[in-house]
Amino acid sequence: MKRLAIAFLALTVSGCTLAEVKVNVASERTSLENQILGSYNSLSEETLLVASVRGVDPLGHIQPPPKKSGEQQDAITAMQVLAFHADDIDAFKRLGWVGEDNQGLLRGFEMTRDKAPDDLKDFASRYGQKEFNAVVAEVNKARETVMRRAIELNANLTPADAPKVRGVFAKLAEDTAKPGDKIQLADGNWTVKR
Amino acid sequence: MNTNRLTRAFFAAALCLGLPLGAQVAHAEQTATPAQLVAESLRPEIKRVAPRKLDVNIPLQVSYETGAVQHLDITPDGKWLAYTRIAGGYSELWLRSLDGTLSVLPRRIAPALADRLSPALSPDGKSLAFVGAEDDVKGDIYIQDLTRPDATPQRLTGRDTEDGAPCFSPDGGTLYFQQRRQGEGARHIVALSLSTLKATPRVIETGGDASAPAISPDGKTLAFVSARSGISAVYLVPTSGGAVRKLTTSQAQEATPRFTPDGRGVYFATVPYAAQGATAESLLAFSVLAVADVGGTQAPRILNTAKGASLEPMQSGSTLYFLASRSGQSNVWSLPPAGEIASRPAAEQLALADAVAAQLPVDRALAVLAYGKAAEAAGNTGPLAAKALLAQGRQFELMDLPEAAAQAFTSAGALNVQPESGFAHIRAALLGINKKYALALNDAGRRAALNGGRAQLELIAKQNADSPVAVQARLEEARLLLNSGLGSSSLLEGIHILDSLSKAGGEQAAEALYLKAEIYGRIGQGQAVLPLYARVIRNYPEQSQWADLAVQRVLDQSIAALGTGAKFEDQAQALSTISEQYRNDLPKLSLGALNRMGDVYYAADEWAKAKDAYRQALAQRSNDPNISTQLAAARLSLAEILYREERFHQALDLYETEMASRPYEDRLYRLAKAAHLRKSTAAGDYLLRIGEVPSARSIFAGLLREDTNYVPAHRGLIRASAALHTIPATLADYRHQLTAKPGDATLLYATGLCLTYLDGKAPLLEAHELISRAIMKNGQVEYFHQTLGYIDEVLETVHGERGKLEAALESYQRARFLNSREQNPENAANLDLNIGNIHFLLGQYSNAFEEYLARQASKVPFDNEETEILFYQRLGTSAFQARERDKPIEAFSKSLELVEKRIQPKYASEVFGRINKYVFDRIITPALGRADVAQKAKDLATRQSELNNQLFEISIKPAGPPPDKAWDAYAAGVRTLLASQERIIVDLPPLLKDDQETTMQTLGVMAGKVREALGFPPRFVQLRAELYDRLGLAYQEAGRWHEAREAFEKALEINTALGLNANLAANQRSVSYNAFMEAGLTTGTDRDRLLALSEAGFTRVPELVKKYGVADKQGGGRKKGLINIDLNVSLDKATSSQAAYGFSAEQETRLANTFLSRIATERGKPAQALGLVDKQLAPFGKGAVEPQDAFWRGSASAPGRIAGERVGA
Repeated sequence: MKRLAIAFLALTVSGCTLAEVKVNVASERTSLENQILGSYNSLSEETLLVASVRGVDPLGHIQPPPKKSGEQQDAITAMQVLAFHADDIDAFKRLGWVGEDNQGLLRGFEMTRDKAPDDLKDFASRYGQKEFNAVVAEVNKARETVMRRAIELNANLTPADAPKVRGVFAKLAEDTAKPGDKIQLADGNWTVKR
Repeated sequence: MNTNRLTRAFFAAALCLGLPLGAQVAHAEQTATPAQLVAESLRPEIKRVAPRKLDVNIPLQVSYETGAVQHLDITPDGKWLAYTRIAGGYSELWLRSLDGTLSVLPRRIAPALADRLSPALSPDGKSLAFVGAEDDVKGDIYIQDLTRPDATPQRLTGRDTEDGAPCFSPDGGTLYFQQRRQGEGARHIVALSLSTLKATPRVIETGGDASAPAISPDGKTLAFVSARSGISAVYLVPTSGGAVRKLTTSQAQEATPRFTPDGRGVYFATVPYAAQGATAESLLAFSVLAVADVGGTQAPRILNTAKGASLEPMQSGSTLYFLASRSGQSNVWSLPPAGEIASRPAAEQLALADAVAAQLPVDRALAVLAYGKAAEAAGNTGPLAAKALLAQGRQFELMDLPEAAAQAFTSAGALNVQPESGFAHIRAALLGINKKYALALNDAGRRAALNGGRAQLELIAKQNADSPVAVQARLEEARLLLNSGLGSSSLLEGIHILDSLSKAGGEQAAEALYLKAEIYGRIGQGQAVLPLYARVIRNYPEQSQWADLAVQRVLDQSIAALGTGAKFEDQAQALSTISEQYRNDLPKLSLGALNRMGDVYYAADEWAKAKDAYRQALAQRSNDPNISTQLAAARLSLAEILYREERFHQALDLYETEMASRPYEDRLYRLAKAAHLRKSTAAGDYLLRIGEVPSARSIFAGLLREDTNYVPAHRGLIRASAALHTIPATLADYRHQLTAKPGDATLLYATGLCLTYLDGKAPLLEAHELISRAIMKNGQVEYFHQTLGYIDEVLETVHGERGKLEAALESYQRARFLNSREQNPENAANLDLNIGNIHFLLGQYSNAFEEYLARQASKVPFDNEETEILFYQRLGTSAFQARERDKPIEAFSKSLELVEKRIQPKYASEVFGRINKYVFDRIITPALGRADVAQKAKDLATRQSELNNQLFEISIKPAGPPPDKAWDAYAAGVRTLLASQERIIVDLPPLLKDDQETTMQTLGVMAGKVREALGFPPRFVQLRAELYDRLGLAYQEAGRWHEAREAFEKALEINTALGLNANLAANQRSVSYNAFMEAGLTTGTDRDRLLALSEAGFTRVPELVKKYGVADKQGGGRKKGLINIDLNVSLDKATSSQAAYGFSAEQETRLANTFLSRIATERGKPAQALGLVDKQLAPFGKGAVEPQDAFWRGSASAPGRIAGERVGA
């Protein structure tokens, strides 16, 4: 059993919270996991660099960001979407409104508000079903983009490897889940992380 | 692809043959086998294999001459090739080795300022006979001993005869050639015994005009060409005399016979497809190779396609050599003796021909040959031959060769095999009608042509009653009426005809309905049109050609109904309505409407909406095979937009999806495949350029998964590896693969290419050996020759190996021949530059100038500014040397403009700033969040911030480029700060978790770049001075004295400021000279001022010479100034090459005094002038002028030009 230790660094950069997921080696990983997570980390780093305010050179000129392909820009935008919604998704999980499925995506559940923790009562009351659905859909779309980019950035992966890549992302989500979060196991059954 | 009409462009390509889409042909033998190359790039789940190659022989290029090769001969052992090539206005004679294991440079034979023609090698390869024109413009026969390098050619004939086309007897003892005596019209074949050279040649009786002799291997038969029957044809006669007979029954022009090695056949060039009215010019333009048996009189067997004027076939060993201008210039090519398409059973031959005709893009010349071979295999009789000839005729029609088409249709018709012969009669009749119609001068004439044509078609219909032939004849009659433009009565007749075709089935029924709709549309019966098209789509969906056309017509008319100038939103709305309306009833039309909607949005630059429309079309998935073309159109159009949006992987996935659903023979598969290959490579290259290396690598690896022999993908992968600093690992990988497949040309090349990225001479030598081996295995890949040329260039320019530039030139020229300028314009531009550079380095400035002009005309952007600066500088220099007037000014001005932009005094600060950003973003900031190193990170952050502030302080102080003193202070400050930065870098490793080595390496490189950047301003300023000097010279050559003087003044000013004192005398002299010349164009005070300026300057020259001397007189040599687009640009090296032409100290002083005496004369001071002249003459009287101080030394120019026009050189 490979275990992944994940450290989250919350950096405040240009007024926007970006959750950088840095995956550290705690034990052996499969080659596939290494490759995918390596790509994910580099994408995460790239996203941070894009958001950096230090784009001014010693002459006082604003340095334009380096040219990026459309697909790379899509991936960075997706990472920014994930970061933007990260706090809300955490809250959704604590409320039991979403869980991590075994395809690397979020799955929506009933929006029950009666058991909301005190610090989330206000939050829960403000969120409507429509808005909730939109956020989950947007996050899932961004996750799809990121997973696709992980394939594109690895020379030895093709779109046919998408199921494996989903598996790795699902595993990552499972490992980083907090106690009480809903997760879907590989066999399709749902459980709550202890 | 058309940028406004994506799906329409798709349909244009898919429908280009007018044949059903998705046509399938029998599977041929698999010839492409996938193999693993870069192990990690491959997965077991390979979905598809590479497309199978058609079983045809592609001609291989043997010579790569830039001047036309007009004649050739090859020794029987195939080792030596003698040929002529046009160079410098003459036809030169050359000998070169064809033995790939020998590295022998080509050798020019018997050079002369006269044409050398028709080389003939003796069977033992020791002698060479040829035609020379130095003593007799009509031509004489010469013979040259090739065994002695010092041998001179011996003339064998006199001025009284016109002699040509020599050939040796098989024993080498007799020379045969054609001869025309004075006063005679006809030519003869004569035989000259080489043992008694002085005897009169023996005339061989051929019964009339005879030329171009060839002798059978047993020496008993002579083949020759004669125009005795009005056209040029091959004849045979025994060498001992006897009956003359024509070789073939063909009525086509024939030329250049040569026996097969076994003597049973004769090769020759012929023009089978344009027999009628063929002229000597058409023989050259359409000639193909053929072979005919000596034994019987029969039709010749065609061996290759009518592409590039094939001539002079000859077999040596198991190779057939010939001349052809397939790649532009006439060169030597080769094929197996069987020709481009080997013999096989008729059915297989026909299947192959169909496969060839279904290619995209289609090679019609090859299709014509393939169908011809199929008919030949069928013995030109029976159903297969009829099918083949009919199809061949259609290909000729599409090639716009109506006479050849008529010939094929007539042959098919004569076989009397139905329905093909009937169809052939119809096509032949239509060709005749079209011809008459086009020639008609008025409506009456056109009506007569129409009526005549209708009568012919009705006769055919009557003769083939109740058959598809009759239906087709009536359909064509209706089409004639539709297209005649002769009024509504004709159109109504057309409808009557179509209504009568009740027995038509399948495709003919669909065509009839479609034509009917077209006619109704023409007569303005709009309400009847759409239902008819709808019936075509609904009732005959499997007839995709007609159904797809009907869809397009419905959509065209729907949009036209909105009126001209309708808004794109309205058009899109109308199309959306159609799509919804027919979604269930006519899905093909519904999808077509969505596709058209995508096109409309795309043309309006609404890409997002266009993508939505195409995606909507793709979402209407169905198993209905009849909508596959519409789905393919949507998919490929969407891919095109995604590609343009640089969403390469998504675009390529769509191509993949399209390919995965189709067999390789399918034209849509080929369309997608071609786009996939082209776009993948371009995308990979683009991503590499913008630094998205892993993504690029992924694309190249994907290409290799499909075809491990795809060389551009290997090149991309290796470039990516170089960018990632992983060349050693990649090299090891390739070496490993090579161990398993030591003879694999692609692996040999890739391994060699990896080696070129390593430092030192040894890797280059190994790369040379490996790539040479790759070329021996497969010499048809341009990149192999290109890289070999690069290696040779570096071996001479960097490692000093003499003679390599010539080899590099030859390799680059080969690469350029093999490279398709149309398909790969970027590489063509690279090769133009490479070839221009070699010519430049070899001092061949006219050639360099031509190549540089081609590079400039390509408009392909340069990889970097330094290359561009150097390019314009060299273009200017070569143009100057080629005596161009305006081009040097234009080129030097452009180079100067780029240099001015590039001189950024504080560029080093910009580069330094990147270190700061890198250290903060990638090292310190992440480390701040790690408790174990947070404090250390904070300390380093403080140091880095302080350093950054100091950098800012010194960077904002004003400083111009050198020689500004403030710049010196700035540079010193940056150097000090860089030392501090390096101390910080040394302390960074504890903050790094992964990839310490790479990060430190990167920082080291970045620091190096700061130092490099500090070197730029002085170098560019120096270059600017030199360019002003060159520009001044160019102006001076153009007689623009004023501009020349200004440019030289700038050069003088910069060199003075920079302390480049050795240049000052020459600069001052040039300023003065141009002031003097300018004075000649003015009067009054202006003239006085300029003369005074000139005098002051020339007075200063001897002082400068005395004080500082003069610059080195040596010009650029072949070791100097390497520049290659694959190399790092070295401005220092390159610009020094031609910069230092000038005079010796003594010459400078004398020149100044000469002008001072002239100025004194001009200013009315004769005594002063005389005194100066006497002063100058004194050393001559004593014989004291050294040879090196004479003006004609050290310059490429004639002595007479020195004192005057080129005095500034």
